[in-house]
Amino acid sequence: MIPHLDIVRGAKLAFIGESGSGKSTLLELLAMILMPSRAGTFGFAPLPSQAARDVDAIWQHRDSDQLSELRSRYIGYVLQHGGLLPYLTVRKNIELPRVLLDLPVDDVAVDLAAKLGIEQQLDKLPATLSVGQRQRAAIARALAHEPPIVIADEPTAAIDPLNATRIIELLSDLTEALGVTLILATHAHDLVERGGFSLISHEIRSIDEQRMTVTVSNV
Amino acid sequence: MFKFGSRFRRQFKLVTRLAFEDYGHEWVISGCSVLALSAVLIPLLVLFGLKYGIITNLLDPLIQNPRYREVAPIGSGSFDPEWFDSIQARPEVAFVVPRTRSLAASIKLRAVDSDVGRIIDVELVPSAIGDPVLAEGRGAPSGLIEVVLARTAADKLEVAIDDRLEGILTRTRRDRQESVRLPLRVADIAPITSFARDGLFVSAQLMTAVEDFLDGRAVPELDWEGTAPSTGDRSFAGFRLYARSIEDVPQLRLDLMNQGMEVRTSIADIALVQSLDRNLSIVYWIIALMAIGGYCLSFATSVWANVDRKRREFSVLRLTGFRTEEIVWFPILQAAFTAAFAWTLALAVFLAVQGTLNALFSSTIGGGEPVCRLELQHLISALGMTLVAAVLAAIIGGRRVAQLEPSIGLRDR
Repeated sequence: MIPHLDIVRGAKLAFIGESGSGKSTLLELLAMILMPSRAGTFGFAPLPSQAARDVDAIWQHRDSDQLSELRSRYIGYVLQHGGLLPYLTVRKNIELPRVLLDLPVDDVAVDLAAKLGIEQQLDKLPATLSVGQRQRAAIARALAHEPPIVIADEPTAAIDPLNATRIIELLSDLTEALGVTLILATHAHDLVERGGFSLISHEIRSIDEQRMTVTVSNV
Repeated sequence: MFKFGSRFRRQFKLVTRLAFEDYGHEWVISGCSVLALSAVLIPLLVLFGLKYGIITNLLDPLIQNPRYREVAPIGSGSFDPEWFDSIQARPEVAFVVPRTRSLAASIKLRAVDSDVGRIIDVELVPSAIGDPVLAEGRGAPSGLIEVVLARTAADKLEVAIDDRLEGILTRTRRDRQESVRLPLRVADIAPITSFARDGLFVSAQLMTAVEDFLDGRAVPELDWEGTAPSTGDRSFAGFRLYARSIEDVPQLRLDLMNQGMEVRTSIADIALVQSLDRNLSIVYWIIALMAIGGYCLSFATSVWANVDRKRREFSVLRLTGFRTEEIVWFPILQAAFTAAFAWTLALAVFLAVQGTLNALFSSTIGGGEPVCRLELQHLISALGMTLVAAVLAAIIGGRRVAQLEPSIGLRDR
């Protein structure tokens, strides 16, 4: 249950909680992957020039193609384990969202890789990279198609604290510089405290095996 | 599940590229599935090649030799021109010509241009243009002069094409021996393979002239005297009839027997080979279906396991924006790659095995002909069937790709 949650364009939000606390559920709701059982209003206005889309209405029509269109165009993801395709080079992984949207590829991969410090790894396969480098590549992929929103679910869960801090900083700085809304889920409180994130706490209550209630409140 | 819009055409190329990159990246697994499929294909190709080769070797002489297409009457009957018209009109009949009584079916021959003074007795064979026993597109018997001579007779008389011959006919009329001489020209010499006896192929017109003369009648065209020449429609004692193909022989035989005549055919020889072909085919297809069925089952389970192993990758693709109807092509395309590579490998191995088998056996059981062979259309249909089987198995095993949710990529493993 989300009584009220406005996410302003350009905001930096962090959901803090232990694993299994419902962070992923929240992110899936926001990413329009999970269908809410009931929704009052679910407006999605990624760009200032566009009127808000009524996501709840799209859900009611079961129009998964439209949802996936919204998702691929306006949202970038950083997954917990990177989620890079093992058979593509880092460069092709980063370029994939642009190719899919029929956008010009240009030097986007090189630019982002330079900013993230992985320009030496562009033509390697993900398996030959360290975990930290993989997460940087995943951040580059999430930003490649210039989405107004980036969602990151525990992006540093498998990384040592020092590296993790550095990566969160990079992610935070990059999204800020690009004016991208960043929604981050993490269990590491200290990582986000310094980054100027708005913290969102939430409380979870199971109704039954399929359903649960997540109550969100601003801190 | 499958949609073909303009977006789809664009994305399909991308999916094909990704599927191929994945296929190449996992070359060990891909290579194993190619080897597994060709291990099924190779023995099937070799078995089919052997069946086809052996049956072809048995059937080819029957098809090429017109003797096996002949339907010959036993004894003599009476066949009027109407009967010949009706039998000629049948689609199964390639060639039919009337035959006179067997008593009137021989002539003495002498070479005019050669020094050989020898006179030989030859069998008269009614013929015409299009006679399957004679070589196509060469000289044919026509009119009262042009004849085709069998090879053995030509050798005895030492004559060649365009040489002149003299036919000698003798009859006994009113207790007196009468004999006439008939100027002839050799239009062609029939090869020994088509007629092994001393024979002379003549037109129906010349054949009836000979019969009339021997019957004591006059033949005005040749200035031969005798009783009043025959007039009106005449009946013939027999015929030479050839079916269009050996498959047409049984039906023709049945129809002629229903008309009340006894005929002689090589139907038993043909039927033997045909039933051998049928039985071998049944055995072959039982083996092939079991092998292909077993393969499909094992391939479907391996696709299932592969999709399960890669479900995170698939959900990442879904998250990136690929739609279900685009993702489902992933396992299908990879199955098609496997089918194409396995077929190519199987073809290469088949060609090697075929060469070895033919070198080993063609001289002993093939009669000089290859014992193992496949036509291009066999190879193409083998490719088609392999593709269909692999793709069907991939659809069965890969259905769950369609059920994958993008959220799996977000969730913890």
